[in-house]
This record gives sequence, structure tokens and C-alpha cells, in this order.
Amino acid sequence: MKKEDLDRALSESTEIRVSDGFAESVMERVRLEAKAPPPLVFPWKRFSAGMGTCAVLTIVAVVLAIDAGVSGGSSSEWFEEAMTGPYALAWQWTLGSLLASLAMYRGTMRLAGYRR
Amino acid sequence: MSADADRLQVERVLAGDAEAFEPIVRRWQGPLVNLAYRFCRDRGRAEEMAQEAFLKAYRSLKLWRHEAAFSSWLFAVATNVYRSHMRRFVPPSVSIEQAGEIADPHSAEAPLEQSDRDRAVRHAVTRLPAKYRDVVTVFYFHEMNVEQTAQTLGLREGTVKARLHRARALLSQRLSTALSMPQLLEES
Repeated sequence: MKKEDLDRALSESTEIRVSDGFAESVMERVRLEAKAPPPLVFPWKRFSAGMGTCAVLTIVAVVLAIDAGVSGGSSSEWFEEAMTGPYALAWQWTLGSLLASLAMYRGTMRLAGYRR
Repeated sequence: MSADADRLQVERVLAGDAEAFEPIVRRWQGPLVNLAYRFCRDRGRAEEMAQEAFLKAYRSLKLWRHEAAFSSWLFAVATNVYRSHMRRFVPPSVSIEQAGEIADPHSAEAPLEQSDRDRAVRHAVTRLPAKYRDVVTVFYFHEMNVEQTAQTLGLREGTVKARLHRARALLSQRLSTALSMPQLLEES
């Protein structure tokens, strides 16, 4: 077989005929698509507001933590006090809920088959 | 003429008239189904693939940049759909001999019919690695036009030529063993 034979074999002139209802079935799906409500837009405004609030709170928390560390001893002492002092339970709950959220997020993504 | 019609109908679809997509489907259904058939060699699947391609095109119409012909853009969208479809569905394992329905290729009593050989070649193409199969399929669909092939696949012309050369070498290797053919590349 020469190169020309390959060209001939692959340059087939016979065209397959499209089924009669093909265009209709495509248009049916197009109409469904057109009727469907537009996909939900990601709520960027709320997301940005939430992220901004989180950032501000984090900065305030870090500043307060540093301040407490400077005035009241080392940061490890401050951490120890936070974990054993009057707000210990609140801190523990916060930490626990953050870890639970992370675990649920990872579990949901895994179940949904999401791979990064 | 059809380029103007395409442009007008696309504008109508984008303005909210979904029915204006129908003439586009009717005008391009033949080429799109035939291109799909060359990828999968199965009529039923070819129509399913072409339907997916039209839907994908409908959803992404606003991404069409008017400097390229609508047909070029449509072929590129369709080819992407077909390539991902082919990645998901592995073709059934058919040997080259079975593809050409050849009883005994070495037998003098059963000489290879040209149509059998052609069919064997086409099926051998579907068994090529994807990057070579895609180039060969689109190149012959576009009547051996390297520029159009490159445009459809989003590749440089040099890459298309290199892959075509490699694909022919692979086909030659596989078919010459199976069908006792001389090397294809003798004259390329």
C-alpha cells in the first residue's frame, strides 16, 4: 500500500445520510435548554462581603492576640490562658466547629467526585 | 451566502430567538454527523455525538468571535466534543483483519478486495493514539487541507504535518504486518 492508497482509503466520498428526525430532536433539546431558567450566578457580592468581614475579624483577632502577648506575656502563655480561662469552652467550640466544617467540606467534595 | 445566513441567525439566537438555531442545524447537520462518524465509525453514535456538538455550540454561541468563519468555529467546537467523547468511550477491540472482514490475508484464493483494505485502514485509524487519530480524521475530512485542520484542532500547521507523518508511519507499521503491505512511507 502506497501513500496514495492511504489517501484514497481515508478520503472516502461516501457520505452517511442523517436520519430524518435529527434536526427536530436537536431542536427539542435546544427548546428545553432555552426554557430552562438561567444557571444560578455565584453570589459574588455576598461572598466578597463575607470574605471582607472574615478578613477584618482575623486582623482584629491577630492584633488583639499580639497585644495580649506583648502586655501579658508570651504568645504560648496567651494561648494556654485562652484554652483554660473563662472563654476556654467558647474557643474549643469554635475550633471544633471549624474542624467539623472542614471535614464535611472534604467529605462532600469526595462524594461529589470532585478532584482538584 | 451561508456565512451571512449563519451570522444573521446567530445574532437572532443571541437576541433570544431559539428557533433561529434550526436553520443552522439543518445546514450543518450533514458535515457534523459525517465528521462524528469518521471518529467513531458508528452511525447511531455519530448522531448522538453531533447532537451533543450542536447543543454545546448553542450554549457557547456568544463565545464565537466573528473574525473566524462560523463554520470553522462550529467544527472546532464539534471536534472538541468528539475528542472528549472518544476519550470516554474506548472503541471495541476489533483486530485489523476483522475490521476488513478478511478471511486469510495471505491466501492467494482470497485476495484482498480494495474495499476491504480501505475499511481495514479506516478502522486502524480509530485504533491510533488520540493525538494522531484526531489529526488524521480531521485532515481527511477537510479534504487534506492542513490549514483548516490546524484551525479546527487549534494546532500549528507544523504540528499537524509532524503528527500526520508519525500517524502514517504507525499505520504503515501496523497494517504492513497485518495485511502484508509494503511500507507506506516509501513515497512520503
